Amino acid sequence: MLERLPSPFGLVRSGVAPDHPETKTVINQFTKIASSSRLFFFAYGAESDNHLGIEGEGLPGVFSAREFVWWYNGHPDCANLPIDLQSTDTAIVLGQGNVAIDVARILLRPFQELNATDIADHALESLKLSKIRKELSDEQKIALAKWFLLKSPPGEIQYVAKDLQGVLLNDNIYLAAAQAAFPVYNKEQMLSVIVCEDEEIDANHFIDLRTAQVATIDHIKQVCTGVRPAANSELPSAYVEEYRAAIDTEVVRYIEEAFPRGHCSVFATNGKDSDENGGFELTVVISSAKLSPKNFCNGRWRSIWKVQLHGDLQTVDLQAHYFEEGNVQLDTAYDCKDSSIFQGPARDIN
Amino acid sequence: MEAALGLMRRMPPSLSRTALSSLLLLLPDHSSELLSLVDQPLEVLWDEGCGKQFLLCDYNRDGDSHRSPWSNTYHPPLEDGVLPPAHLRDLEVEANEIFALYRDQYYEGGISSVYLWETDSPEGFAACFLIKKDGSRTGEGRRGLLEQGLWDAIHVIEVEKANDETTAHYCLTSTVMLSMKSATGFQGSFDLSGSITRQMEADLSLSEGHLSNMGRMIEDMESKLRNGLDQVYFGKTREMVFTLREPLDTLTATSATGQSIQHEVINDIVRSRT
Repeated sequence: MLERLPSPFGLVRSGVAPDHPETKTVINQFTKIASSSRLFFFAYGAESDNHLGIEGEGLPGVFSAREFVWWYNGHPDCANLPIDLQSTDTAIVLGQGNVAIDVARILLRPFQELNATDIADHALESLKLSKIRKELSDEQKIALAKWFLLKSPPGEIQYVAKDLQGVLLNDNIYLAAAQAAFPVYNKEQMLSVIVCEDEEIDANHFIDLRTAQVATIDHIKQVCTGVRPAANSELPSAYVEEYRAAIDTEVVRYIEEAFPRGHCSVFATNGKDSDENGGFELTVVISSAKLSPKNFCNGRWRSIWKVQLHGDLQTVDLQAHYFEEGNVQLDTAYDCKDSSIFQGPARDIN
Repeated sequence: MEAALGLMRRMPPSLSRTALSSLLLLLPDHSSELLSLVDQPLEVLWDEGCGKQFLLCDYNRDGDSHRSPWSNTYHPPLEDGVLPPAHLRDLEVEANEIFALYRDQYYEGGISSVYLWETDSPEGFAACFLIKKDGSRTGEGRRGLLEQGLWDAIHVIEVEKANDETTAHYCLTSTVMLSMKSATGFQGSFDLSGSITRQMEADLSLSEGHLSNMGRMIEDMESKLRNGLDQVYFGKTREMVFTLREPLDTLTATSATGQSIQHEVINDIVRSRT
């Protein structure tokens, strides 16, 4: 027998994964054939790699599966392959065949299990110190948890939160996700008409211009924990306030008519300190919710009108969720623009 | 597991695929359980030998291959894939033929597949009837107006023979997933999607055979679900929108009501200034 390597059996030895010993028993058949004196058998292999021809293929840390497999199987040609499993927590395997799975499995298998195989010693040593992540990182779990919370139907985030805690079974991860998600959800859903992007003073404080008060909000409990009178610097100028209050009064009247469960708020979003010479923008927020989880039915209507001196833009967001015997959700949004010219009252007076 | 299913009940149905894969990442140990309990929109494969499409579900899957009901072969090919025993396969062939006729009558198109398999109870078996129809603008017929309009129906029936040999017990679980999406047009973005599941049990005489019993149950259930969808999708959703925002017949910036509100605003401001 002529053989380049110190031991025979080629691929069976250097290709088959060490944790698949049953496949390696084919060595017995090979031995039987090799001992026959009536047979010439040429097995000189097809060992070159296929190159993908993509940029960065030759960078350090990129290996062909053959090289990596030879490395963990102790093939002399690849025993010293510079495989660094400590400087990163991510390994990427390109391919979806059985060898790709072999590679992924060897990278992820617990050390104790690999220890019981005939994997090459240098590979075992290196895999023992491997930093390649065997499960999702906490950051990834937090990101997924946050996604679930943000996708909660109207009025259902507390239910989603409870289920999520059951899935995660980790209070720290849940809390991190909740702290990031609740404020966003509360503002998006306009939990109360004063809790929305535009009335935010900081993450937990929202201003109510009608009563000139600032409310402190506990986002996760979804309650208001305190109020204080608003400071002068937080309120719009007297000139803007006059317009705001007048529109507020009328919108309240309109809400009573059109939105039986609605609430509204009017506030100055741009140029709140303007006087007669400056332009400003008022925003009207209408939020109306019907939450009756006992009847398996929740819904919320939100509309935002931005009224500028020239032009306005409105957004209507509507969600309905019906979940008796199933899960039916409507989510629709509508943008529109409308402008009307009317004589400015300031000029009328003079 | 219960919490995971609870989450699936609340996530937007149009994002159920993303939600499911997130749960699979968070709960890798429950992956097979999750995959069998969460209904996903049906996928389609071509059976090239027969030139027909068939639907994929957990019940015709073995490893990464799916069995075609038309040729009884696995795609991609699988040497030792599980096949139903001969008597069930005969019934399956007949069921597929009849169900395709049913589908043509009720759906005017679409794709259907029926799969049968053995269960643990003596002489018992289970069947799953699948229908998928694409009603979107790009779908078959090209009659729809929607970007996406999909109807997926999954009926799973478990059959047990009763002791008296002349009747059988049928337990049917049906799920219909309907999704309608549109992103363009004057309505703005619009997404109404969801799923409804119902169960039904019956003891029926075997005099006319399993197929006719199962067929009648499915026909009955489908028309119930069809009406249920009508009520829930359109009725309940409409009711919700109407409770939130009462329709006023003519409230626009230029209508009489709108104008009078505008005037009142102006008057209030004028009054407060003088």
